[in-house]
Amino acid sequence: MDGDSGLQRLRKGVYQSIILVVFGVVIGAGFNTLNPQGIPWVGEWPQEAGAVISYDGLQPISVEEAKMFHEAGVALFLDVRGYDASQRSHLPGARNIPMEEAENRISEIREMADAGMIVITYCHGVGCALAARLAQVLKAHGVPSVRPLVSGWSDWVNAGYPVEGGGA
Amino acid sequence: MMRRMVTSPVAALVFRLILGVIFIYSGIMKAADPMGFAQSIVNYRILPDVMINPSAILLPWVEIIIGGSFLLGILIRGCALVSAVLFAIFGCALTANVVRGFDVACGCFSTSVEAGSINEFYILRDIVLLAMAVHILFYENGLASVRLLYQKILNQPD
Repeated sequence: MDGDSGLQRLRKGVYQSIILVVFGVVIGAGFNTLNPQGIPWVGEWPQEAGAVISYDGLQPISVEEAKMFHEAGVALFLDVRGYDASQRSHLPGARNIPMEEAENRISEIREMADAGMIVITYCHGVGCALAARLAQVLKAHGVPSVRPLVSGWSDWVNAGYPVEGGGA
Repeated sequence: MMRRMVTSPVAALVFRLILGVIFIYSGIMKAADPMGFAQSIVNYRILPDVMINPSAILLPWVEIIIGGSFLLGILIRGCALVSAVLFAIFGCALTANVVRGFDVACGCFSTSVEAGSINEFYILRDIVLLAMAVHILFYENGLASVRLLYQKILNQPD
């Protein structure tokens, strides 16, 4: 066995890989079926690969600016990420508004906006499309002063700004 | 002398144990939070939608299996090959995002975005791990493996 040439080792590696991967796939599929936190095989991912984010007619906001509004007490953060991520931790005072709930919660958001709050939507980070999408929906329903946080959650956290919730 | 050090089966054993621990740890972290891991994959913007959830469901378990086999010394060459392929794919994904300037959470050992976003250091780390996997593939000789132990028991005169 030690005399195996490189090619022989590679060939053996390929056979063994197949066994390992099949094993992993079977256990993974089984675990996912039994796991209460299992996920569907086909997911709804609104931010499809390469999605173009449209900021048309919106005024994107930077994390620095958002933090200023937050310190001034006039920022209303809307977290467009999933429920779990949002539960773990979120921007200070943020409300979790998944896209599918957006239409039902417009009156609640409009009330705050009318009271002078700057509505700031955010998702995971640069390139996530949901913050802009929620902002478009709110704007279309006449909510004033809606601004998507361009670089989202990840930049806020990287900047060391405060967050609420359990953390990792 | 130098050559013997480079091709040393002892080095392959050390690398094997390192990769084994890394794979088990990272696999368990991801298997515990499939939704979070799926989101990490989405953020990389490499895979088409239909492949995201299957990858999030299966990849952590492939990692755990490989990690366990590495540690025990079962199907070592297969483990080395699969991990080399994984590191290569992952290296490409990392590089693509670093080059594009996208701010992506690594999703390597934790599905949390607080883990920090990727940078050149992650690519370097990936290359080192890839090199370890390739080394194992070509230079391991079954040192401290279940396979050898098994053979030894079989060959023992009674």
